[in-house]
Amino acid sequence: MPGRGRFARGHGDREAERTERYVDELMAASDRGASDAPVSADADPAVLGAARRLQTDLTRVHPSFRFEEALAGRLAAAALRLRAGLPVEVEADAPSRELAEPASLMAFPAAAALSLPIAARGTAARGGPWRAILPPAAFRRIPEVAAHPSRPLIVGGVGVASAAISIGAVYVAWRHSRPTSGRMGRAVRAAHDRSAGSGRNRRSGATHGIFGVLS
Amino acid sequence: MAAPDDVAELAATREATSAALRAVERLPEDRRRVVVLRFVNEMSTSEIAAILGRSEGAVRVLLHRALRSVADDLRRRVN
Repeated sequence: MPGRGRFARGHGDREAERTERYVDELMAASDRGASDAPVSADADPAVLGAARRLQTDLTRVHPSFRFEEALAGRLAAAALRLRAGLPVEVEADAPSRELAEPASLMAFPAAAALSLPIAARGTAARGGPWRAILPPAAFRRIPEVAAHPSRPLIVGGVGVASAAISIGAVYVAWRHSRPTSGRMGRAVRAAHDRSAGSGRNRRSGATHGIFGVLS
Repeated sequence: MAAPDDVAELAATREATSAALRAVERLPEDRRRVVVLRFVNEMSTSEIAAILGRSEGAVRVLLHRALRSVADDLRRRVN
């Protein structure tokens, strides 16, 4: 029935919009450090509960977050050694436990549509098939992404082994300049501030790399 | 040494976290991507839409359905 179909589609869209608003409020509350989760009377409580669960748990334990934490910690340790006048021994060829798991590099979802070259490919990973590192030019062709020319992506995965450390440093440098105040950004900014002794608005010339990791 | 109540609470929290992660892993790929971009990378709907080459409406619906699936999964686990 056409009318019923239109109604069902409209109803689903409204539900999705309510869910989106709630997730926005949830993340804003987290950034403010609010102890109570926002309340929404007009959305499905089960869906909202799942959003709260993922907002608190997924960010904390997701492998990409652990990768970033490990990287931030490594940079902070290197900065301390520099300040102490000690040689920096970056273990670029000795992956840490967080980085030691196999990673696969493959096409970013938008790459095929944009006919973009893939920078690197690796072995198949047990964690899933979608991870990618693409050249920066790839993302500059996407208008919305071009607005954030240095924006990298880390989506899942367990890191990209030791070869990605330099790219990871670019990611941290970029993340430092990102205006949002999420937990990941704060962690990296803290490491960056410790290592570079810079203010929050300092931008690095190395922030134009695009780092996409999907799993 | 942690009190028994603390240990029990910690175990329950870890179990809940593990269940949530498993639920995310079971999501279809397009929904899982949206969830990770939204919650881990803290991207907006418009940013995710640009990245995935979908409309913002499609991303909203994917996120809503993903959360519905996770909720159903967690409910089944409890039951």
